[in-house]
Amino acid sequence: MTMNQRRMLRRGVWTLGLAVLAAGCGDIFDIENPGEILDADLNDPDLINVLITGLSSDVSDFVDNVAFDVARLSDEMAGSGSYADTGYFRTGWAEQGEVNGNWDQAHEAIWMTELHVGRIEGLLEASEFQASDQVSRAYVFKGVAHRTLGETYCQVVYSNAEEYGPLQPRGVAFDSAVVAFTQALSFGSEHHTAARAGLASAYAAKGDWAQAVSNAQQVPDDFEWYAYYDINDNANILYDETHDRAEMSAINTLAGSMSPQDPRAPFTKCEEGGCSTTNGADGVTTMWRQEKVLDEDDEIIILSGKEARLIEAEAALVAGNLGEFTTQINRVRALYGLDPIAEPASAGSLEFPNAWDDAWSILDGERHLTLWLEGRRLWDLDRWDHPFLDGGQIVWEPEVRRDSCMPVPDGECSVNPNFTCSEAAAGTNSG
Amino acid sequence: MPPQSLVRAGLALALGCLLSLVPSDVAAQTGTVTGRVTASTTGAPLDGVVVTVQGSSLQTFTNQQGRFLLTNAPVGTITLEATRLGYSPFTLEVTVTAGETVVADMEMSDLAISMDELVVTGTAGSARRKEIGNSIGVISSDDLDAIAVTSATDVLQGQAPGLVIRQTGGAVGNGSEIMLRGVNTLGGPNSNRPLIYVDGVRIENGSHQEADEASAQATVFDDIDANSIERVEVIKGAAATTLYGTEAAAGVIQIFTKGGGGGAPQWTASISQGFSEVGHVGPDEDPTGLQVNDCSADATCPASGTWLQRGYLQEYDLSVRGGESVPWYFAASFSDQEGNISPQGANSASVRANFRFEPIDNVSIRASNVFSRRNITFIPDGNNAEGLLLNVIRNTNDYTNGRDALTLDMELKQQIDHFISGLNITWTPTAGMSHRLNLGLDYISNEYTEERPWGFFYVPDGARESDLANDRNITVDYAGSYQKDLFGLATTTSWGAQYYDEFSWGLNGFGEEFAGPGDKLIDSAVETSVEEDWLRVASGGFFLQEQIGWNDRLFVTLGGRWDGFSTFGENFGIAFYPKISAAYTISDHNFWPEWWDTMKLRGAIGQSGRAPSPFASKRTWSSTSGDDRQAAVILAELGNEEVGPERTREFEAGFEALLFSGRFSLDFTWYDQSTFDALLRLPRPSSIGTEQAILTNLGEVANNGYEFEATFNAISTENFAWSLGGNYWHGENEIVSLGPVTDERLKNRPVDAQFGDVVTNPDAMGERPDFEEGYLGPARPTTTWALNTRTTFFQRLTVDLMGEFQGGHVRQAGTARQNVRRSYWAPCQDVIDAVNGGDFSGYTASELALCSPRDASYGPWTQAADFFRLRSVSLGYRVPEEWLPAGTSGLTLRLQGRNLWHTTDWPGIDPEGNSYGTAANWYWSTREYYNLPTPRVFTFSATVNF
Repeated sequence: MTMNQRRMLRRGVWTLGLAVLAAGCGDIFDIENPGEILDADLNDPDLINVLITGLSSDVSDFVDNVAFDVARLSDEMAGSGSYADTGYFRTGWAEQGEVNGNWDQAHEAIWMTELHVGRIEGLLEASEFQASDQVSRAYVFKGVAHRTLGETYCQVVYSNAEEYGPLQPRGVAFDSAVVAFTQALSFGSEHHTAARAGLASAYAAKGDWAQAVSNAQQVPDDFEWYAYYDINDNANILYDETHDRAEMSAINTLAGSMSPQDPRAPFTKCEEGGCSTTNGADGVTTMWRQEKVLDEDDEIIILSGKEARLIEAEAALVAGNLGEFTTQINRVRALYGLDPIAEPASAGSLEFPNAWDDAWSILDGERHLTLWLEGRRLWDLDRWDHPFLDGGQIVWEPEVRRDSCMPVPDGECSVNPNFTCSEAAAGTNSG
Repeated sequence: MPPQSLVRAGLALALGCLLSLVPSDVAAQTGTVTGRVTASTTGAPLDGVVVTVQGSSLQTFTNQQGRFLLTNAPVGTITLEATRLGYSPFTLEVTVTAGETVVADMEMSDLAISMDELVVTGTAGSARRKEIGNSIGVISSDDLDAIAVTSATDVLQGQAPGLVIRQTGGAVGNGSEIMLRGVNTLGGPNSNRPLIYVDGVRIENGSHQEADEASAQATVFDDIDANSIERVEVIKGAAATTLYGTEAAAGVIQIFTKGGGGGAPQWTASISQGFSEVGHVGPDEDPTGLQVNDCSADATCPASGTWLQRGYLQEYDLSVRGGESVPWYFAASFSDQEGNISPQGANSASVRANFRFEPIDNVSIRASNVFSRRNITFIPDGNNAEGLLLNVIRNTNDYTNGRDALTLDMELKQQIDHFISGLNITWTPTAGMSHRLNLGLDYISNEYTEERPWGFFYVPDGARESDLANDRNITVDYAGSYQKDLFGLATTTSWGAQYYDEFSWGLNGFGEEFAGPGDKLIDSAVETSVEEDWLRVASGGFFLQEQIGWNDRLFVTLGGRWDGFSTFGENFGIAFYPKISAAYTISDHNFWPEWWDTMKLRGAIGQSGRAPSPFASKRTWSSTSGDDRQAAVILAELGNEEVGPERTREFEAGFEALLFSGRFSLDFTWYDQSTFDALLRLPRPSSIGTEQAILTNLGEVANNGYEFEATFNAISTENFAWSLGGNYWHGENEIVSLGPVTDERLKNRPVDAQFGDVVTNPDAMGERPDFEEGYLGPARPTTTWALNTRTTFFQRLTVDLMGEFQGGHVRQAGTARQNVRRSYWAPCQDVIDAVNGGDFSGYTASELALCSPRDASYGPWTQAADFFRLRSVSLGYRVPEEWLPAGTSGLTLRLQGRNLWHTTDWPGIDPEGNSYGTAANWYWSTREYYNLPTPRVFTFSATVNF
């Protein structure tokens, strides 16, 4: 090798070595992924719609899960699957380790509303901010999340990153829902009916029937507000778990007992054909497949005029006005082309199975079928102390007293120092 | 540059170098040297020995009979040098006369531990074993010839202590998990994988994309053609891997492939034929083998009356090597393997071109290039309502209504193209200085399709999914060293820098609801969706190292590595990993007893790391859709600008000993690892408003154990030789801390601890079980040992056996539990019948927890999974030269078997069965769930040299 060659080679090697060393200070170490958006890039007024649509997606995340869990834990459906939570839920046991997801996602929707509204406030002029329909919509979502926590969990906890909160009665969630729905009314205009529908349900949950009726009356019969689903990013699991899999069945349920079938709670008896399997995923439960959610991108109703009518009916029943009760019930039935009912002779009481022989039984059945697979049934069972809770059996042998609400999950109680997991499970079979 | 362009560039580079090959020249006044090279302990002939005339480029290889022929040897006295990996070099002076042939037989020392053996993994350049303060495992091609190998991973199994291979299922194409010294991270199985290098090029160390519906994953390691492997070096912990920096805390495995040389071309061709078979499936009490062996009750059962078949396999390999000034090696192989359930199967092909040349004095360039293609056909399997075995084994309580073959209408195919190209440039400007530059490209293109035809029983309108994935990884690795004697001490100063650039891209398309039968494309479907992934991560660092040697006996090495990484937080900066080690060959002292040949004491302490996941340091949002397919963003990562690597500090100490003239060797190592700043998702109450946990450097894990390896050449005569060998590893890990909210349940438990239902009233007669959650055991083996023995008759007939034990861990017999729930598991049938009949008064709660359809729980079915398996049986016969036809220099016949027998008390189907592939968490990756057990494999092969 000549001196010149050696010099050239030596220079080449050192240049390469230095380039590698210098690389540590440059951009070559930046991660590249066009799919991820940096937080600061969202500070753009043109992206407000995108943010709130994302919030809508967050809400959709838990609405179908709540509907799936509530259906198996309550008397809506028989858990016919092989998931661990199905094994618990169908016996009436809301096991503490199986109820994290809905809790997490509902809280995320609440926090996300605060995050987005705060960001939007910084992006818009004060007047634009006040007129923003998207801000109004965000608050409706927040109200829905609070309502879901209140209706589903026995106790609630609210924290922030600096201070973790204590266990509180679930009524606090309804109070928060009222606040959020009311805030929705102070922004924009497009989503005020949804806010009224939300307020009606939140006040009804609080037992404030006057406020509930006042707000319900402002919601038209055909009004519906949805959690949206699509096959791309957020498929409706009610479809997947009943059509793609066989995780719950309508056999032995109120819906399954209706003859002819009620249009609000349609199903297929799989032994008569049309399904991929005649048994549930557990291999033994006869599969009667729900046909209310017919596709992965079918929506789930979260606020509606039909619920507003049922609230008005219940308020009338509580007030002893059976005529008004019957009127409101028949307004709902008319929406589905069902024959009107005659005014019941008495208020009566609830029973399991439902005999449809008095006003309370009718209200029970009408709410059950109208709100079927919308994640609302557990709250009815709880607030009415429904007789189904006392060992009511669909297929699988139940706990002596079925859970009517979910415990604060172990993901919360294991890291929140303000209470123990036993305290968090109070009132359930996990306690 | 798009990945395709990079491949084109790599191919062009390889082609250019190939074109530079030139024929070797021929000398004039020469003689001939011939001879035979044998092993000193067994007398067996050694093939592949490089015989070189010192001071010239003249060299040749020995054939399978150990014979060599050097033509054109210069006249006069010359020195022959025989070298082969794993053997001490041997030199011999001979006098060559013009036109005459001189015989020069040589005997090489095949010591199990050779202090002069060169290793390169974990060192700045290459180093002799006596200079290295940490343990290093070496697997040579000799070891590989002696074992039955059906995949590259088989090369590693049972070959070194602390090296644990966990199979992930018996289906053809399924991969394996590689683990070194147990578990030392909180990051799950995927963070516990060692780095893999092939000829200096870092390659992907994980799995290919999952074949979802098959519950199977092929692993990248198995893309390597086992026949091209010359040697494997394994370093197992942070004490040895410091110079690899971030990401090397789980160890490093380096593969070296065969090279050329020896002048005239030497061809090797081999043909292998064989079959695999699965024996009785499940409990012996069930004569139908869970309806798998005997499926006559199913209307769609094959005419053979069983779902199983013998899976025929065939393999063809052809390689040639030669060259003097430009040593070259070319190899091609093709294999085809039927699965044990039709249409399972796989075929693979690979071509390799390795060569080396010296364009100018003192500069050597070695290029190694390999392209491989694997085509795998899976069947739907595992935890899958549309899977064959789930529906077969569940008998009538299934999804197919007694027509299980309907599941096989689903087509699952995967094609994996893998290209590895490396360029290794060494420059030795002076005797004491050297520079080495490795440039490497690792490119993988992966295509996986799932097709449910129109009319498919489970999705009547049909569906098709196509997954494309590309990985492109670039390695730039420079190291330099300078040796100088100072004050009577031998000093070696080393420095270097590495850059690693990792890019991955994937596109997934899905469509469902087709108009009718026939071949389909995704866009023929009514519902379609598409997802794209795109990620590039880069890392780089540099190191400095100083080694001081005293009297060629004591070596002390001090070094450090500084690293930058894409995924470190902006406020973190640079990571620094120090190391120090010492090696002392005490047997070099005169006072050392003569019968004790060699004794090296060693100790090392060092650090290495693991990088945070991409974007762990930044708050980011992901694009999604909402409101009926409107654009939306949702939170992807909260971000932590302080996050840095987790660090593993390891202290290891041990010795390497050789006794009784090399008859007995022992290599012992004790190690203690502490992983601190361990990356974990700090759990916080979701009531703060997010379920997202921030990746934080908070945890601490302890991991320690010991390992030893021994060989004993018990008998060594001319006509009979018998040797024994074995290795043992025991290691335990525990969680020391999970930060401020350490769950007491997890503290001091293994990282891979499995929890589940434990019966609290086990002996209560006639009572249903009460459960509480309890600790069940670790998910990965804590003890492994392997035994091997080799017997050689008349230097021709060789019998090798190797068995392996794995134990100390638990596995979940998910198939058994699920079948009990469906009242079909023969060992439980009496309990099942009693419970279903309403009278279970004769059974205890613990019996019911296992066998009652109402009460069977995963906890009781998670049991100790210790097993011993006869991994390899090999019978080899080297045909006498005189029987060979002209032009043939060697013929070896081998009859081999793999996984022929096992024993275990575990109650499931196969203690190595696992339907979740290389899943990201310990729980899922330890569960058997309707997957095919490990088959027995028999092969017959013939290898001919010419």
